[in-house]
Amino acid sequence: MEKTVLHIQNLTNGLCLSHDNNLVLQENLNLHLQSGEFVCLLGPNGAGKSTLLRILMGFFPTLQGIILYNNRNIKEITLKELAHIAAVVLTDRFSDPYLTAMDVVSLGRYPYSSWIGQLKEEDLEMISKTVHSLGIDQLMGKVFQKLSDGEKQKILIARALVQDTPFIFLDEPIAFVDSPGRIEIMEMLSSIAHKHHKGILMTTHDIETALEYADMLWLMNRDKPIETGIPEDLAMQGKINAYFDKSAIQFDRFSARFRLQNKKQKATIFIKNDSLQTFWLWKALTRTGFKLVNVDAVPENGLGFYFDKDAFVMVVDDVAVRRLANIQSVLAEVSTLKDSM
Amino acid sequence: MKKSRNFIGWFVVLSLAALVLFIANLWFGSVLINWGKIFRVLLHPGDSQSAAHIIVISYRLPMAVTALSTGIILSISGLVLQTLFRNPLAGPSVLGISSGASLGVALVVLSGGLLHLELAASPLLSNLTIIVAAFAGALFVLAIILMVSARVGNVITVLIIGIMLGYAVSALVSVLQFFSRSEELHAYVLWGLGSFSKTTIQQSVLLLVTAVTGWGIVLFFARPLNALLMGEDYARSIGIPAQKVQRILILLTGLLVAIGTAFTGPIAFLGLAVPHLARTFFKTSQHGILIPATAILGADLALLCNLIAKLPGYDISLPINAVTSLIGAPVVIWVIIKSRHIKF
Repeated sequence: MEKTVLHIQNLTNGLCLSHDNNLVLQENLNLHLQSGEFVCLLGPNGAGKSTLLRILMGFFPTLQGIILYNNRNIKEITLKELAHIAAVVLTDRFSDPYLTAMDVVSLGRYPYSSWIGQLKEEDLEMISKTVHSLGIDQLMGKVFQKLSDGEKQKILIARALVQDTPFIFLDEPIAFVDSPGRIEIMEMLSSIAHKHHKGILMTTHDIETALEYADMLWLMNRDKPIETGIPEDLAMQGKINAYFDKSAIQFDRFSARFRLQNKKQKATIFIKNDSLQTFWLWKALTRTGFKLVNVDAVPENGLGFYFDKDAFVMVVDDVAVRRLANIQSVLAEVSTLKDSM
Repeated sequence: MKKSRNFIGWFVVLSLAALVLFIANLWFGSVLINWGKIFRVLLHPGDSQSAAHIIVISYRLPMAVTALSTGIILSISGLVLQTLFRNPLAGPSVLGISSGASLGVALVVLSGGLLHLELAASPLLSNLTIIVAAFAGALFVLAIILMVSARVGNVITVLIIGIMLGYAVSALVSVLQFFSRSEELHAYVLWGLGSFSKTTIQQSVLLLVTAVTGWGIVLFFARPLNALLMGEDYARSIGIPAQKVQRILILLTGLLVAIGTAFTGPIAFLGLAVPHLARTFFKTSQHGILIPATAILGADLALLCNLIAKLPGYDISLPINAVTSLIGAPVVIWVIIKSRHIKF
C-alpha cells in the first residue's frame, strides 16, 4: 500500500498572540508520521500538545518551519484539500438537544458531497460499514448529547474515519473516559492505524495507557526538545521521567506506573512471587510502603510470605507461623508486626 | 422512512395552517366580508369599485402579507443566529440591529424637541421617512458589527459587542426621549410597539420578496450551519471556511432584520421563540429541515398574532408587540416544560 507521510521540519510550536507577540513553546521540531503508524504525543498540561495538533490542521499559522504532507507544503494546501488529508477529533463540546450520533458521523462525508449535500448511496454504505466495524451501530439513532463520554468519543472517531483521510489527529480522546472505555478506544485506534493503514496522532497525558498501545511516542515538555522513540526504549532509558519531572512523583521503570517516590520505606518483606495471588500481595505491600524482595525461599531472620493452596503463609525466622485467607488480613498482620518492632 | 414521513406530515399541517390563517386575516376585522367577495377581489384585483375591494386590497392584504413575511424573516434570522452564536437565547435583537432602527426613527421623530421644530406635525414624518430612517439606523449598527467581526475572529466576541452596542444605542434613544415633547414621544412609542399595518401593498410585496429570497439563501447554507453546530474548528476540518460563513450570515441576517424592522418596527419574541418551537415539533437539528420549518412556523405565528391583535373588533387593534409576547411567551414556556427538550 502506498505510504503517506507527514514531515515536520524545523517547526516552531507556538501561538501568534498578537502582531508582534508570539508565544513560542518549542523550536526546531523535526518529526514525521506515516500511514499505518499510531503515535501518542505525551506531555504534561500546557506543554503545547493541542497547539501542535492545531498547527498541523492548519487552524493556527506556522510561525516558523515547514509542514509537508506528501512533500506538499501545508501553506499551499487549501482548506478543502486538507479535509481530504487529515480528520480530527477535538475536545470541543457541543450540546444541541436534537443532534443525533448519525448527524455527527455523516458530517464526516461533507468533503465528498456536492453543494446540495445529499448523502449518496456510497456515503451511506461507508458510514454503515465503518459504524459496524467499530461496533457502535446501536448508538447511531441516539441524541449525541445523551451519550456517555466514551460513546461520544467513539462516535467522533467514526466521524473522523468516514472522512476517509490518511491521517487522523485526536486531542485527548481518553481524557474523560473510564478505564474499560479507555482500553476500548485505544484498541480501536491501534487497529484503525494498522488495519486501515492510517497515520494516527493522539495527544494524551495518560502515559501508562499510551505505553501499552502506541507504536511510537513523542514526548513533549515546555522548553525542551521533543524526544521520540518506541515506548519501551523511552521507558527503559529513563527518558519518561525527564519529561514528567515533578520530583516527588516518578515513573517507576519496573512497574510502568507513576508513583510517589521515596516515601520513607518500612521494613523489608520477602515474597515468593510466583502466582497471581502473590502478584497482588506485592502490589498491596508496595502501596503500603514496604520494601519487597523476590525470593525462592524466605531466608532466616526474615519476614516473608508465600502462597500455598488457598492462603498466604506467613514465615517468620524460617517458621511458618500463620495462614491468612486474604490480603487484608496480611496487611493487618504486618502492621501490628511493624509496630512491635 | 418513518421519520421523513413525519416531517412531511408536519410540513403539510403547518402550510395548511398558514393558508387558513392568511385567509382568516383577510376575512376578519372590524367589518366581516363574506368569503365569496374576498375570493372575487383576489381574483380580479384590478376592479376597484366596492368597499370590500378597498378594505381587502389596500388594508387587509398588505397587512397579512407583511405579517407573513416578517414572520419568515425574523424566525429564520433567529435560527441562523442561534446556530451561529451557539446560544439558545440569541435572536434578531442580539446584534443590536433593531436598536439601530429605533435610533434612526428616534432621531427623526424625537429630534424636533431638541431642534425646536414642529416635526411631528410636518409632512416630513411620512411613513416613508420613518422606513428610511429605521433602515439607515439598522444599517449603521450592522456596519459597525461587520467591522468588528472582520477584526476579532471570535464569534462570541461579536455577540457580546452586538449586545453592548444595543445598550449604547438604546441609551441614546432614552436621551432623545427625555428631551422630546409628549406628542413626539407618543409617535415614537407607537412605532416601538410594532405594527404590520403601516405598509402599502407594494411595500408588503417587497417584504415578501425579501423574505423568500432570504429564505432561499439561508437554505443554501444549511449544511455549513449543521457543521457549525459542532463548532468552528470541526467545520474548518471538513473544509468549511467557518469565519467567512459566519460573516456572510451575519451580513445576511442583519440585512433581513434591518429591512423587516424598517417596515414593521421592532417585533419582539418571534425570532427568539419560533426556532425553539420548530426544533421541538420536528425533533431535529438538521438545518435542511429546520430552515423551512422555522420559516413556515414563523409565518403561522405572525399571522395568528395579527389575528388575535384584531380580536377586540371595531376600530381598535392591540399593538402587535404586546400580542406576540403575551400569546407567544406562555406557548413557548408550555412547550419547554412539556417536552423538557430545550436544553443546551
